[in-house]
Amino acid sequence: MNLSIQQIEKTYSNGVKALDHISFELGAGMFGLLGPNGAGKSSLMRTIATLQFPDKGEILFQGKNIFDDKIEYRKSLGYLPQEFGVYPKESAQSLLDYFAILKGISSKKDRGIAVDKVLQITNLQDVRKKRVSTFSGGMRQRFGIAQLLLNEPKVIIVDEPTAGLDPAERTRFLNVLRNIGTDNIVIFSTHLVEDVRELCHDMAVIHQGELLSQISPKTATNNLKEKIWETELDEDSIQTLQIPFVKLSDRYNDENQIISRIYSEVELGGEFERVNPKLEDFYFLILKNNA
Amino acid sequence: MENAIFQYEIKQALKAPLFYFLALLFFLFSGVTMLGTGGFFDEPISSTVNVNLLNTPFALTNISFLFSKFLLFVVAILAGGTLYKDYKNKTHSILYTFPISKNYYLGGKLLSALFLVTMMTCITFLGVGFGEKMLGVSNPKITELNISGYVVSVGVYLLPTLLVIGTFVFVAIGFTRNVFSGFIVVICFALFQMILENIFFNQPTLLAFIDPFGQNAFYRTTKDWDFDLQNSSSLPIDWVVMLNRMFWISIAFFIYYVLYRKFDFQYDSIFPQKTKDLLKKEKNPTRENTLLNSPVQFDFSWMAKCKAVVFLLLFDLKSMLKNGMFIFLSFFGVLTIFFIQLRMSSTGDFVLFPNTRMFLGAPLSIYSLIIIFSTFLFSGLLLNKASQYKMDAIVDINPTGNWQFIISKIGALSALQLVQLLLFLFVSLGVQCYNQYYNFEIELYLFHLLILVFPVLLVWNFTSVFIHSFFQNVYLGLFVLACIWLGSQSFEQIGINTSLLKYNTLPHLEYSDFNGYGSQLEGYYLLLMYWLSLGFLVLLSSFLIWRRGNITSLKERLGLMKSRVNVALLVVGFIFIANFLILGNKIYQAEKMDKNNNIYNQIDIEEFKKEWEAYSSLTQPKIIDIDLALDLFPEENRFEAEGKYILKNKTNIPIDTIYLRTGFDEISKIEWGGKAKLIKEDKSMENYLYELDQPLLLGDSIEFHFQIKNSPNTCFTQNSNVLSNGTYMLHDILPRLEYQFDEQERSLNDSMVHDINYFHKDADYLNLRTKISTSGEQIAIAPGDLISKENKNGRNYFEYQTPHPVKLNFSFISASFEKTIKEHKGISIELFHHKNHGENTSFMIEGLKAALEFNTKYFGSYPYQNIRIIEFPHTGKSYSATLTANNIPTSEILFNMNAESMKDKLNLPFYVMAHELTHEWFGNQVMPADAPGAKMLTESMTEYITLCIYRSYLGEEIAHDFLKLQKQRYENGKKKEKGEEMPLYKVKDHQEYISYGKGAIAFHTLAHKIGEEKMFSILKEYINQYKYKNTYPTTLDFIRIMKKNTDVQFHPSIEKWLMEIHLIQF
Repeated sequence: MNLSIQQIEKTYSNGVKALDHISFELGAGMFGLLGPNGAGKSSLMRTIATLQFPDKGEILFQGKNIFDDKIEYRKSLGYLPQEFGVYPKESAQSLLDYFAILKGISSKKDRGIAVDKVLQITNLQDVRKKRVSTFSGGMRQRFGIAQLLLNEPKVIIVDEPTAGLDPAERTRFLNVLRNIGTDNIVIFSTHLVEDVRELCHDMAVIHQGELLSQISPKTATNNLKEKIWETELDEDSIQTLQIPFVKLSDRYNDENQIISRIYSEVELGGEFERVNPKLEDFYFLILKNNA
Repeated sequence: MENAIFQYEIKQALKAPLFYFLALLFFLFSGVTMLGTGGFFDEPISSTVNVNLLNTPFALTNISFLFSKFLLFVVAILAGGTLYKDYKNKTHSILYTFPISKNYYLGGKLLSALFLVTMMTCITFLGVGFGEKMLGVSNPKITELNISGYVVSVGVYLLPTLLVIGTFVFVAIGFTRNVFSGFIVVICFALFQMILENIFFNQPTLLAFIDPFGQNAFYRTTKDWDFDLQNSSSLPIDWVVMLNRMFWISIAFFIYYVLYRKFDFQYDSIFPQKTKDLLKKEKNPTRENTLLNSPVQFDFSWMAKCKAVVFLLLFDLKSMLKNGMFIFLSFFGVLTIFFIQLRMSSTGDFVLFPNTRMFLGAPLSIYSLIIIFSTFLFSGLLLNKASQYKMDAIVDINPTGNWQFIISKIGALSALQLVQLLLFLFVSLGVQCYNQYYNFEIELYLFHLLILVFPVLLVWNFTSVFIHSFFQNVYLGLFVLACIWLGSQSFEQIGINTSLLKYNTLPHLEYSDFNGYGSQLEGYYLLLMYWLSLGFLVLLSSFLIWRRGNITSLKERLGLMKSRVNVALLVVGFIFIANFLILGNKIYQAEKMDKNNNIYNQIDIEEFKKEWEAYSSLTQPKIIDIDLALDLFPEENRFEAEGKYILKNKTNIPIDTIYLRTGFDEISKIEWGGKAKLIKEDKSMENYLYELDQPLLLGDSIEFHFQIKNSPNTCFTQNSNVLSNGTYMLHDILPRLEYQFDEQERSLNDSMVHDINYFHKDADYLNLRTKISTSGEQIAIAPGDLISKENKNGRNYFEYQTPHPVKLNFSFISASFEKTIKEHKGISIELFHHKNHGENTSFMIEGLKAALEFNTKYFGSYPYQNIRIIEFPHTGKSYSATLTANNIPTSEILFNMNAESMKDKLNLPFYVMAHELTHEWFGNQVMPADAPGAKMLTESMTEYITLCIYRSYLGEEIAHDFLKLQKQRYENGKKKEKGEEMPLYKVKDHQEYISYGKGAIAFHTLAHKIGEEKMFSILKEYINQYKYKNTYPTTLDFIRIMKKNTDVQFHPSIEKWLMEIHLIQF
């Protein structure tokens, strides 16, 4: 299974260039799309979901341009946008039934099975008769996953699904995603590095419409081994040491002191403590390098 | 803070192009309406008398009521917009966190909304002022500028109304947070007014008090205004007007207060969602975990896709049927129809059977409008539903074709329209049951609603879906749809008459129990197919422009459209375009033919008059004998006739030139047998001059033959009155010897005045023999006695002959009739009527018997063996009955009256028959001279005698009611009189309020003074003196007879009532 994004460009009518020559390849498994707000993640997601056309470039699924026969491609597509609503006064079951027919499940019996199946996967069967508009944020996101699973999709696109969820719901949600992500292409966009680290075997970082890197999270952290340091020195003080470094982030320690986290390829001692790299370090490093 | 919100809203509105667009549109609309009404685009008129002035307070207020309905649309946009914007843009969640109170927030929003409505109202009336200025005081319809007129019409009526409704719209959006609810509110206000008018029509003060538009309060205040007052008076604001305004303003304050109380700064909904359901756990989850492995079949076959369309259709339909706005609108729609129908079937004095065709007329037209507007609204709602609830992205990415979405939405809207039509059917049947009318014509209802009306609604459905697909902005979509509808209704006002351009507008159909819709259907179907072809083209275009996904630029949209074009679409599109063009051409040709057939489009009438008027004074012979063979072909809607006239010179002047004109709708051929030659002709006006070889001297006769057939019928116009069942033709098909534009008014003292009768210059009393044939199942009737009848070659042949010379006033009728015969003192009373119309026959017969009894007792014998009442279809004929020799052709309407429930009141079937038969003595046996006041000698006398018949046969009380009605008729007519009120003896033809209303009262009063028997003897003497004479009486002749027979003390009264205008005391 293969999804190939080739030289995608998209400029909106207000002149904003949302996607700039983006290319990467995807196979089965969870793929994380990392980037700050406004990086172009949602634009890319919408384009892969056939909701908008690229100005240039093409997207191939199993070797075929998805825009040549959108309906055929959509048979394999599941999409959960960053923000979505539901018709009021409709129960989860009734809405899933509605989506099931949209996804080509014609037989009433099959629709019943499909709906039950996704309700079980998303653990919503107890509230299937309740109005979705009354669901909590996490339940609503799980409903979102339920609807996209109805057609047993090969390409699943989830756009910042964990935003706004409490930790328990987030964990529950990520578990659901993890279960479905093994055999399918799952593109998972987020600005939370932790999500990618926990879930994805491959990831890409995009910023200002450009692809900065495509790498597996493991490789990304491995590449930074021995190169991440923490210090209590502030940035000006470090600069006086005249060593090549990139400041990645700050944190407060238990004594309420600021601890700076830096990237440096040279060996540092004294005030600097070597620490294990995290995926965040890679993310911040690549953003800083391309700022 | 309130000030800040207010200012911000105003600034925002003034930044938006929509405001300027609406302002310009309404300014132009009101300005052009004013200019058009003032005749700016027409030929200048010079006369300044009898003109309704346009810029008086009275006229301006009436204009304001017209505009109030159009401005409702603006109110729905502007008044709701300020609040809805916050929900739409989700700014409410932020705004609500600000330290602002409800009062500041809502107050600021409401005041800004009402300020915008006020601005738009003022701009609209600026347009009126602009129109007035452009017309200028030199225009006969414009008087000096009267600012108070503008102040009162806008300040007292229009603006308060719009502000009140604006507050309702604001509150509705505040409660529902749905943009469409504003439109529902304004439609319901318009319907509410209609409902009130139909419930309280006989309680004018109550109606005036509760009418939300204040219109009926205005009518109540000005109901007694005559023409002069309307043109000159300023508007008094009486207590009812003030109470009405205060009442509605109070209601507006109250509902605002309710909103204020209920409103809190939670940002989901004022109505709490039911969350308790969530807590309730399901006891039996549906399926076992083993099902996780059950395979699910995905089916993308055509059958499955169609099944999905049906599913989506039902899903959408269900959601719309459950929608509160739909329920609210339907409730108001149903109530409106219910009360209109209830009122139609009983207007107080006249009670009509609540039959199907009556309900399919005006009530259905109004209801169709409700359906059309709800289609505009609900299509917008349906097409924007997914995006409104932010579900569009997860819906759009599914493997469902655009066509499935479009067809399912079209289907759901069509189903909604069908539900509304069914509601109409049930309400109509309910009203019929309520009135104990059980002749349910379900088939007719279904045919009319489903075959004739539904396709029109379907085209509006296609149009709405197209427009709402095209425009993402709901307001803009609704606005464009309203403009399309308004445009289709307004083309005629700007001089465009072709049906080709009046978008989806079909002619009003009239139904008769005799021949159904008759030939009207041919043109109707043609237009229906034409608009359906365009409708399907519009539908195909919707496929191209269907919004799906995130389209941000026009370029992208065009690209998408291009990508959707395929061969199948092109082929189907081509078929519909070809169909549309072919049908359009057919309509164009038919309209062109109609235009060519209409001689008034062909020639300059003034030119014709100049050329032919000189011949109007030519001395002409009189028609003394007509032989007519008339063949009717009902199935083909045509006739052929041939016949012979005998003309006789009754003057001392030798006649060498004959002036002849033939019917416009007929093709006539004249044959003089070599005794005359054509010397001048105008073929378009069908006027001819023939020179006789030998002049006709006094007493000489000459004959000519003629052949007549109707001009070919087109699909829109029938040039013959021959119907498949229910033919009713008059003598106007026959050639005549008179100039038709004779406008010369003879003086009462003209020496020649007694020579010419009021009805015809070219005939006194004449003989008529008619051989009339028709189809095998119909009876054909002509004036006179039936001499013979036979059936030959499947056709029925009848021969009639007048037993003595009669007035030239003939009718020829053919239909499948049920016949009822009664005998009264040797005279056969024959009723020919539709088989289902037997209810009123006994009252009609009673009316005839009473008139026969009374008139023969006082004024001489009835000169025929029989009297025939013959029913004709009501379609296209405005008059209800007329006496033609021994026949009284009577409209279907009179047969559809519920005479039983009127028998203690006017009892119209009784009245009409008594009145018409009395004309035998006053109008037929004695014809008045062609001089002013002729109608006093026909209608006034007849109406008085009818009153006497009422008294004799129905009692004093009903006679008194009858007299009261006549007084009312007189007073109402007097108010509307734009010219000079004439005394009875000089009454003009159109002044029926004098000839009927005052006439009956005058004769009744004089009879009361001089004694009734005396009055009858005077009338008898008058009849005896002029009966069947070729010397025709004037009103002066009658007054002379009256004075001669009465004491001199009564002469002042006679002069007062018959020769003067005075205030009637009753």
